[in-house]
Amino acid sequence: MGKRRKLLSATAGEKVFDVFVYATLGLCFLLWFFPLIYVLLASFTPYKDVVKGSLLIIPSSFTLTGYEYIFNSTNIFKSFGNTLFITVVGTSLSMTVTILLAFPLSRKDLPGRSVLLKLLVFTMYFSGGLIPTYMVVRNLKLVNTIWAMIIPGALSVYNMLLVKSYFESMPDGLMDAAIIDGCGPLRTLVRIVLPLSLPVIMSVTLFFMVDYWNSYYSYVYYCYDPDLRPLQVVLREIIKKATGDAEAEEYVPTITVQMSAIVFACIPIICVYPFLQKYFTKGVMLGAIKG
Amino acid sequence: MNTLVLKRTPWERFKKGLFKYWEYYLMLIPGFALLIIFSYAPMYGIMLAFKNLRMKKGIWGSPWANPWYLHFKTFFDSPYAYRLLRNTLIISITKVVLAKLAAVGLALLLNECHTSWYRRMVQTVSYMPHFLSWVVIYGITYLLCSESSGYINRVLRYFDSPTVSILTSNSAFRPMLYITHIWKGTGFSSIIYLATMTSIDPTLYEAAQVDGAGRLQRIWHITLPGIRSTFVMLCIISAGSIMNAGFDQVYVFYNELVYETGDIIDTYVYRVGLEDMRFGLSTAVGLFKNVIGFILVFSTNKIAQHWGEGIW
Repeated sequence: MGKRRKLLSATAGEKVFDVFVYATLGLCFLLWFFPLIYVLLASFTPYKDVVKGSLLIIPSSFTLTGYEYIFNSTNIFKSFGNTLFITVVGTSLSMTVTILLAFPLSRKDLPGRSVLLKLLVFTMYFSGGLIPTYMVVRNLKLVNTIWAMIIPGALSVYNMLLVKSYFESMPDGLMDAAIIDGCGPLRTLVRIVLPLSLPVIMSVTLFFMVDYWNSYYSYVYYCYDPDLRPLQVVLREIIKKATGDAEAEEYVPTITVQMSAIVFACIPIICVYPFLQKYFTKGVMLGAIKG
Repeated sequence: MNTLVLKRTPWERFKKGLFKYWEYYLMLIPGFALLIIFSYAPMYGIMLAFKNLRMKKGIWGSPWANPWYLHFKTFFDSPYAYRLLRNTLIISITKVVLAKLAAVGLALLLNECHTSWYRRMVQTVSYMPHFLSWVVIYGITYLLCSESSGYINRVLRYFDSPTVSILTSNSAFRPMLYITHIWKGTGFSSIIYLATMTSIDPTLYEAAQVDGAGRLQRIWHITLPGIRSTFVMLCIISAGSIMNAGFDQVYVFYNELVYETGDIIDTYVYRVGLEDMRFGLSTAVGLFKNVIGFILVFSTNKIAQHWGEGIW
């Protein structure tokens, strides 16, 4: 398409238009890129340079004190462990539940399918609300345990529908053939359906991982034990301490420490980002088709 | 044979299905257990909106509020009701409108850019913030906006201008929510528009070009109509979530100094419920929000179906 357009000679107006497009996109790029890179640079810059130094964001001097502070902070390490546990166990649980729901529900001949689907979709639009859910979590004795940050939010109907619609798009004959060959539903799922739906399984797994990694409100809602704090909550405290609304008089972390903590918390996201980018476009499109 | 199947009652079909499909139903158990426990069981607790909870007696045993609408009355008589509704609606509607425009704008620009490495560079960096948590984005905002050491105030100080306290200012709070919302979500939401644009038949553009249409005319007459149905559909869907101004974001960003412009229904429900332990009031406000939200979703879905038939 691009080639064919180039064959026709561009008028002056078109050139101006091109300049506008490239310039605006360049500006957009900077608006996204500058804050990200500034955080990274600030995490290596001594505090006094971040506050008083020249307006250039390229640091005039270099320090690792922020990272040293983090690697010596038991708080951060403990919360890192909590978040890691929540992410790994939560993602495994969520994926198991999601796949086991999506597979039967993708079979159009399953009796009661539409009722079951309606029951699931209804909860996307109506919920008991915060306190009633809190009461259930409390009655199950989950309050102030790490499981409160995993189990109540383990089921995502939206992600389940993504997987289901992918399963549905597979040719019916494939599964029929497997069943005729004496393959039970579970074996069909594990041996045939899952290997063929890797893109959607990968993207939904990554979605769950990012969600668990980034979540902090399940702690805010259901827990108060400081030992259970996930990384995001500790991060929030580190940043808020300096904003002025915290009562903390003790130690106010410097910008360098705060930015190092942010970079530290983002490392896993940055590590999976290439994979995310490879798969999520597909995930978004599937969601759009389902509407 | 067909008539025979039709004659079966739903119950008989279900029984036969249970026999044939029992393995499938077995697979559904974990998911539906979670659904029943964490989505449907709390609906029983909605009763709390009409009760005065005594922890020892449980939800069922607690006495009814007198009058039954007591908690609703408390809420609507308080000065919070107006402030919360106003903030929630203003924040969520502005966010939806601005985010949609930004996403379509970015998709148009990317669609018009034919240098693939340049395009990919912009896309890569624009999708990134979607996967960062609000806490991280608050940290970035803090680095740029804080009064003592933020970049913006450093620039102001450099030019000897008075500094501004963006993070604690009522007038700056909402714009800050909009800007960070757009910064976080635009790249990701543009994916769907871009995908719709690339699925437009290229011969349309060629024909228009032969007829002498310029780039802008082609955008106006081909690209924009091409994404119209997607756009309308997504607008209708987001109209259904207007009662959600985004707890995740507001809770991280706000502080007591900006309650006037920043406090939304969800943050109030949280503070009143889990910080002040006023369970009845909190449940009542939450119920009010959920019922309005549900009516909105239901009616917008009906409109969407109607439109859907009209467009496709």
